[in-house]
Amino acid sequence: MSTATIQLDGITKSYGSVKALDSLSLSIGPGVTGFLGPNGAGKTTLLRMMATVLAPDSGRMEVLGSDPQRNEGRLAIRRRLGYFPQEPGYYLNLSAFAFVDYIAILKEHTDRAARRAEVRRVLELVDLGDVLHKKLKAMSGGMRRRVIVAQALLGRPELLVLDEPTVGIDPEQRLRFREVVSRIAEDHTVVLSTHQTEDVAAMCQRVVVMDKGRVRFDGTTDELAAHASGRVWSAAEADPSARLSWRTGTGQHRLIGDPPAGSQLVEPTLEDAYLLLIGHTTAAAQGA
Amino acid sequence: MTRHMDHSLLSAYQAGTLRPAQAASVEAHLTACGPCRSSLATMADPGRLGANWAAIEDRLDDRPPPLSERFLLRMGVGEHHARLIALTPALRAPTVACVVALFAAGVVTAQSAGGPRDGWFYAFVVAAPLLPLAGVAAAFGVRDAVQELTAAAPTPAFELLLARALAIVTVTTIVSLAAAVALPDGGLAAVTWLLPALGLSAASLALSTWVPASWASAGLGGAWVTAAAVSWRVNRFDADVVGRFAALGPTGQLLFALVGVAGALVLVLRRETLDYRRIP
Repeated sequence: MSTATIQLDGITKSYGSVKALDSLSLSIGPGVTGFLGPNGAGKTTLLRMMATVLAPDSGRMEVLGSDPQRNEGRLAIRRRLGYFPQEPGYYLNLSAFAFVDYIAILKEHTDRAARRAEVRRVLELVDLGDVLHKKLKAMSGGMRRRVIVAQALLGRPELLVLDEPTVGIDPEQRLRFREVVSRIAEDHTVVLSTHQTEDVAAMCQRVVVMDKGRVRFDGTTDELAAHASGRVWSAAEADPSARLSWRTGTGQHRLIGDPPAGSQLVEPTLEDAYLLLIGHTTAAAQGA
Repeated sequence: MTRHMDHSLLSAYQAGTLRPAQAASVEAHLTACGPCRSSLATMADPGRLGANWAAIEDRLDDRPPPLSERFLLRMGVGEHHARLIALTPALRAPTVACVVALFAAGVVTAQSAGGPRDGWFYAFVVAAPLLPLAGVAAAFGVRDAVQELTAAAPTPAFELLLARALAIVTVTTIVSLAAAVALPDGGLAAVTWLLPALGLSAASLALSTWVPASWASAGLGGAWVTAAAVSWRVNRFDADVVGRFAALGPTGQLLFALVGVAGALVLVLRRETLDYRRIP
């Protein structure tokens, strides 16, 4: 049996003629692993499989030592899993407390007093302790997403699968979220999908860049940033030979690609390296 | 000058062994005496304090559950199942109000037409099975807002489905029986849709182990309505509702009872497919 929390071998999934995952193999252990990639890269499909919601067409999976394709294995995984889906859905007429309490019931927290104490604990972790009884329909989008983060933390799961959890969360709460996740990742496994390279830089020991159902990069955040070393420069004008360029707030242009001789090289960020790797993003989109 | 309490008295208070009058006297002193409060704090059992605080918080956080959940709890349903059933999408107040309104409209039209032989009554009996069918589909279909979270939880999907389907069938049955009592000399005709409804719902649930529940319900509902419309045309000279649509007659009732049993069997045998999606 593998010691990795998640072991994937040759996982394939298609939607009609579109291959969402193309013979993907990965091994994921404790700590925070971040998945980056453009829309349609296959991140959500992969995370849904890790969360035992979706079955692969072919390939072998092991999550927390169990096979999610077997009934007893799936149950064992679900009892040790926390999941934040990309589109979680809400019962808007419920309060934050009642909603998380409902999910706790689904997660087999049958002892009423212990369950309610756990619901309070997770809501306080995401800084919603003062609005326990506020209805979800009266909450902002960011607050609702924090409720979903809270339910994912119920029962101190050994594996946290988080699909774009920081979308719509304000910077202060994002910091708090990072702190909570980092603490959990000290002895558990967190898998995180995001479009925010800052989240990856702040939280992830390991980053996996996906594109078109395949892994384009797998390594540490430093290794990903180093990928762009010597390939990011600054200039007064855009250069058509650059793979990507955009105008920054200072009026200077930031360019990525193969710099011409004498260019003013700048320190690459994780985002530069990601863009260099994927290279799909338009300059206009980045200049925004 | 304030006299401080001796250690044994504070210790007995902390252990909860004092008589009520003594405890009240100690509490009165503690509210005014900081050093004694400090002494007590050093004796306090953190576990007991934590449990007390949790109990206080629990009481403060206690809110009455919604009416439907309170009703289920009164009926002896466990808290766990009461909550799962109360949050059934098809059992929300607006949906139940629509069901009641439809049945009331059926009763009123039948009353004004003078009995259950009228075309409106036929439409009512044909439309009635569609309600539980739609409700069952919604209970475990795309209309469950938290479907993705439910799918990743260890509670078996089959358990949730069964609890909610039973609740829907119970509600619609109670409403239909009330309608049957209110109808003029048409009591039996008003409940002829019950077995078809159960059969269609069970068949829909069984099919949902292969295709999405909404597809199964839409297909079966469409077939039912088409068959009813064709029968109405073909048997238009028959004065009796039951005579106009074979599905409502004795043979139809038997057939739908068998379909219901078969559907339930398939659902039980294939229940595990509900827990793991091979379709997006």
